[in-house]
Amino acid sequence: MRYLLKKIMTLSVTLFLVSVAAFIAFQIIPGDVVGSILGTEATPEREEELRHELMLDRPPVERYFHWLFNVVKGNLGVSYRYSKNMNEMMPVKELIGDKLPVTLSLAALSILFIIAVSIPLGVLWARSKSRALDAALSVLTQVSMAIPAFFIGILMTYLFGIALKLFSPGAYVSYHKDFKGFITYLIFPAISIAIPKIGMTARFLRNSMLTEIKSDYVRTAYSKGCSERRVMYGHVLKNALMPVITFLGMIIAEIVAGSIVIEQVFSLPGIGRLLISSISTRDFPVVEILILYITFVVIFVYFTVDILYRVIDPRISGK
Amino acid sequence: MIRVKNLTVSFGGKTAVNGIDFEINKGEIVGVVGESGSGKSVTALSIMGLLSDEADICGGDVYFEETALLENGRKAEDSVYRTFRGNMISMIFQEPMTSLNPTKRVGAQVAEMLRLHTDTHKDEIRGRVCETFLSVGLKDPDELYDKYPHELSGGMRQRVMIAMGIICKPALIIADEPTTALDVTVQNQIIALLKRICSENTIGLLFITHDLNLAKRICNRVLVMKDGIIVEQGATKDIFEDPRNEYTKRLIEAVPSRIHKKDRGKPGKENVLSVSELNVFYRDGGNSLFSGKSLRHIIKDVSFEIKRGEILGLVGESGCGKTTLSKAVLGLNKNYTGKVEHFSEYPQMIFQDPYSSLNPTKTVGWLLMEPLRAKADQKPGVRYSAEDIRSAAYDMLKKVELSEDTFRKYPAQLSGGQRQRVSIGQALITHPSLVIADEPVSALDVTIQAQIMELMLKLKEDMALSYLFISHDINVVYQMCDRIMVMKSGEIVETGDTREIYESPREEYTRLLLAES
Repeated sequence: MRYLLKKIMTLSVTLFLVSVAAFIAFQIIPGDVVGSILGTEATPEREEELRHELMLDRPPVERYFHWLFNVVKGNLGVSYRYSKNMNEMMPVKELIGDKLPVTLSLAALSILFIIAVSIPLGVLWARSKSRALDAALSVLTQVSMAIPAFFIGILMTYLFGIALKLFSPGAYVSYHKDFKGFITYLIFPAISIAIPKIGMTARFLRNSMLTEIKSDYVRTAYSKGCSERRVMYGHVLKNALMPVITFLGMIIAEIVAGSIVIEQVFSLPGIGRLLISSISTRDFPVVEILILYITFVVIFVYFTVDILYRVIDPRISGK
Repeated sequence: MIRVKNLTVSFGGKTAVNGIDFEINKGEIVGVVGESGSGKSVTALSIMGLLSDEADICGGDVYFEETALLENGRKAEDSVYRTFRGNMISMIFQEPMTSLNPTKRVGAQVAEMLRLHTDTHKDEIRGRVCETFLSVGLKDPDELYDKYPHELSGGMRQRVMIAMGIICKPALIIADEPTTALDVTVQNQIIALLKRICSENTIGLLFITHDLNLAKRICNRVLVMKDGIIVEQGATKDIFEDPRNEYTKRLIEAVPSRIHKKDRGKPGKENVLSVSELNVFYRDGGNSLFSGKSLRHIIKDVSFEIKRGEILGLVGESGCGKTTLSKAVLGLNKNYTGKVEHFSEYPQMIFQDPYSSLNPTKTVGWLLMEPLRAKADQKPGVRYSAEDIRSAAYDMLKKVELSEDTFRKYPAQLSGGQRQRVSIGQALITHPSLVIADEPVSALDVTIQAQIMELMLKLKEDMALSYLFISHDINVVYQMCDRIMVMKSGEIVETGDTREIYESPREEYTRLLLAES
């Protein structure tokens, strides 16, 4: 319980510091928001009016706390760039709320692929006695790690989209309308994200298992009469997963924060694309919230890894 | 019951076991003694078929009653081994810390034996395991069942290993240095337990040890191994009272005992170290922003002094604070209160493990010269020429009785004894007056141990040294030290002249320590 409280405090302090840093960054970056919203032909009066509306005529510290206060209350502000209709500005909450499910589903799907494939693959590799299999897996993972995800994405689009016509490239079905169709559109992007990570994770798990196999308790397990399979899955795997979990955590954090390139390649309206377009248009309220989201995701994933550690290794929580 | 014939095993062309023959009969306790590298463990592992892939079985047979586990150097099928391992032959290893799976509950680990070899019903397994826990002297078995290995002490873990070994009622237990990692008091309990269990259930025991005293106490018959060959075997009494083989004789003589101790000159009057009311703490808790910090009180109100030319022994069981005390004295741990006064410059330290305490990427010469370079860096007035440093290092090589060509060798090319000589040289090259030796001979074989102790005594005379000699081995301490401090849970319970303490210990705890070895 105390542990949890401590973690939450660390989380809030980090989020606060990150938000300050992002705010300051946007003060330093040159470029006038008002100008970019209204265009070059706006009258000075209109500019002044908008500046007042957006509180840009106030001192930065006041603006920051005003913003922070609103965020804490749940009001994430409005986008400078997108508008709902002619008279209403687009709330950041709605903007992100619309894209978040896409990124999260994509992330969940690719993480599923990574875990489901890399763990059996890593164990198989560690157990392999044949040189041919060892070499084959080594080359295969090396290649998969070396190919950038976007290139796999392009290959996939060509092969499954254009040649085999399993999906239509560039098209996208909203999850509101057809959830099943939506998932089918995510499968190929998810595979593109997963392939390089599978190579890394399998390799990592294999190395970790080979180290673990030299431990004394493995010899004990054999001396008890366990079969090799039983030793691997019953004794070694759990211990070998410890370092792999940290590694997986890093990967997961990266994926959940938005796979910018893959979203671009497959034209998926996710967080990653939103982030890019908001940065280039200085849509500060959106960027700030996205940065907080990414920070939160990273910290949360590491927190989960911490908890998992405690579940797997009783020595850690025992202290 | 078990017959080993002409067993030969090699590792990458180097023969580890060279054509050995022996048998073990039902309910017999057979000891295999020898120094490290003599092939004891390899023999044990070949019976179990557990040698690593690098090992090459060149020939020989292992029969268990009528079944061949190894015939003409060819191993039986894995499935044959699996029915024997754990079921007919079980094994207990040296390190109870690492021999149990750290992420599984101990009960489940013992229960796995029943699951593998018997068709005990699911509901009965827990009961059977708890019964076995009780029979190896573990209390509250039901509570223990759900604990993890790290929650148990070393002795308890080894009892769990024994429980695991006997639960399927095997015909033979192979125990590979089962008590080496344990404290003396615990060691004795485990030995007694093994002996009792084997005789109660007529289980044969193959007891592998480097400790001749232990073999003497427990075994019916002893095999003495050297360089992969059994040099002598026979009834325990015959071997110890009337050894025929030259090597056996040397081995028995090298065992430190309390019988022969040479008289030495009296130490001087002046202090080289004086410690008064020392309390040492360890900082607990993480380094995160919000984690609380607390201090653990390790050393409690310790006062002592060391005279010039004196060897002061510090004995106690593991975890009593011996190393913590030495670190505080050297200033490596700053969390202390009280007074530590050095009356000499640059006290040095010799560590236990010569394998990990020498930087493997540097040559011996470099290692020997480094302390002088460090000294020159610290003291503006001190300057050494490169030539001075080199010649000092060569000089030191001679003093620790290593040949000159050792200068360009790397630690990996040296034996354990040679490495410990390098560590000693490293400590002495700055000509300190006080040297703290933390278990300097504990990782060494008996014959090497005797040589190193001899060397340390000789250097003490030649270089006018004082030692703070830390050890858990009562007999080693007896041979080395002028005066002894007995430590228990961070407190000095008794101090006195070596003879006095050994002949008439005042404290119950001291008596216990002495009686156990």
